[in-house]
Amino acid sequence: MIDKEQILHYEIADTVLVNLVKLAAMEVPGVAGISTSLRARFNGQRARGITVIQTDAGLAVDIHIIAYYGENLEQLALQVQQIIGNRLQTMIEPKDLRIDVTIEDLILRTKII
Amino acid sequence: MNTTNDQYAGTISISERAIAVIAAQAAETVDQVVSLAASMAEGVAAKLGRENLAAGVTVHLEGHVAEVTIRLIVQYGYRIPDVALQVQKIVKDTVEQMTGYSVAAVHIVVQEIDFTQPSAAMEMRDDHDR
Repeated sequence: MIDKEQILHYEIADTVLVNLVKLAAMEVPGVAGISTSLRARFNGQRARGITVIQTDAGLAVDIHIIAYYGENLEQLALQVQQIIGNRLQTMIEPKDLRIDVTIEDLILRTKII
Repeated sequence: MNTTNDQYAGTISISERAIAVIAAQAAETVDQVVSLAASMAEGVAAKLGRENLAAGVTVHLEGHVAEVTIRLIVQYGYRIPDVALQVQKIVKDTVEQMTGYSVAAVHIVVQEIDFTQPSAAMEMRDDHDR
């Protein structure tokens, strides 16, 4: 008899996880977009936006967002964390999950990114 | 700040720039403030068409305590200490309300006085002197 644990081996590309995280975050009404920083890239720093690190222990997500001015930012960040966590938990079921959310910038609602 | 989300571990952070935008928008609601005074670099960026909602504001963050510096252009005819106090109060209240962070200080720098539009306060005083 084949052991299910032995055949259930799979990998998930980082880009897939990044896209999952991005789609989840963008569902939150107060999120205008994902922050990018060209300067950070030129300086050799980890680029802003979304970083997902997979280890045997689980997943670590780091997301930098642009929010609309007028939102309660603490509540917004918690909402983003919650929705990303729920989405990853449903689709990936990581052993351990850590989600760091940074609100990088604000724009007015009249402006579209 | 560490999350208060019971389900998932992680930190919640708000950048200095985001706080600067909030402070700038709050300061501009004060009637006697004509505008915020952009620095030279901010002015050059504006001329190149790059909108900066935080121009005129500098924020220093330590943990979740912010220190804000605002450079103002104030309308001629108003008592500057009164204007400064109004700006300080509204910036502190708005930032604390929208971010949950504390504001330790709001430093005001009156960079310029705008003489182009006489204020209602000065017009009333001039009429009284006549």
